Amino acid sequence: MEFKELDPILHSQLRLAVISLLIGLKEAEFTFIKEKTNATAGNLSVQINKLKEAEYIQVTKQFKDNYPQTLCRITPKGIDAFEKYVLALQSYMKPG
Amino acid sequence: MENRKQMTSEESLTIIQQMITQAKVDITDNGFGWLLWGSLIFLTCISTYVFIDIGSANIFLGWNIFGILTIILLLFDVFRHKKKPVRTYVGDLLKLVDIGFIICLFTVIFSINVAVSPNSGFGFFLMIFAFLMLVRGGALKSRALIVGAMVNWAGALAIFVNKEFRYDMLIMAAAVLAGYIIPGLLLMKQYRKSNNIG
Repeated sequence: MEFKELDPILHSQLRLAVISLLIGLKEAEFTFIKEKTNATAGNLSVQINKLKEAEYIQVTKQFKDNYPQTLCRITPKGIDAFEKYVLALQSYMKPG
Repeated sequence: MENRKQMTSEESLTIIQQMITQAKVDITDNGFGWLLWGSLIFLTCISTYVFIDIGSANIFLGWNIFGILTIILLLFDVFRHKKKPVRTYVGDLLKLVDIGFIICLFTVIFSINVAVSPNSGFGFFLMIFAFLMLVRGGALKSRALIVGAMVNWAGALAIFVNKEFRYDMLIMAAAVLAGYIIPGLLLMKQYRKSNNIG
């Protein structure tokens, strides 16, 4: 049986968590992702940057009511990568 | 959460499953809007009925006040500070439904003022109320709102059949009681219970 290679960008705990979180949402604030993933701000920031560099997510920084706000949303490339990652995982899980 | 790179396929699936569950943003409603809006329409309908009964010169006084209050409340809602950390596809869709509802509402008000007789016009109000109740009821999983929608559609038909305007007001008051006030109270009770308020 052939095993598909797992995307190294997604095969990391926090990055996978971020993408899995964003897959069902239209847009989420950095603070929301931090709360849900239980990650530190520094670590999350680094991983979000990596996902952004891979063009898996789109990051928008803006000011709202005088406070900085970072918004993240998954891109079509990110959705595609996530779907491929899940398919690859399935090939590992299938018996035989 | 750390950022370990060595994960088994089971661990990866667990993360995906956990995060998808975390991302579920339940649509909640504290019922206040339904209660406020419903009470205002209910009181306006009853006041109109009373004005007709006592032979008042301005039977639409209640509706004029209601119209002004509606505009104030809508403006308050638009400019109210709303900070949501997350946007969902369903949330955005419901926002469009609300905008559509308000446009329909003002179109019916306009039509009553220029072309449509109040006898029919108020039936159209109930029709669009019912539409909003059905959509919102489905999103909130509120059976009371869905039943309220059916009652409002039945009320709309009753208004179209009925020829005496003052009874239209009683039909509308009853429909609003079933479609707004009772579901509003139930939603408020449910919200307080799930948020441990009071």
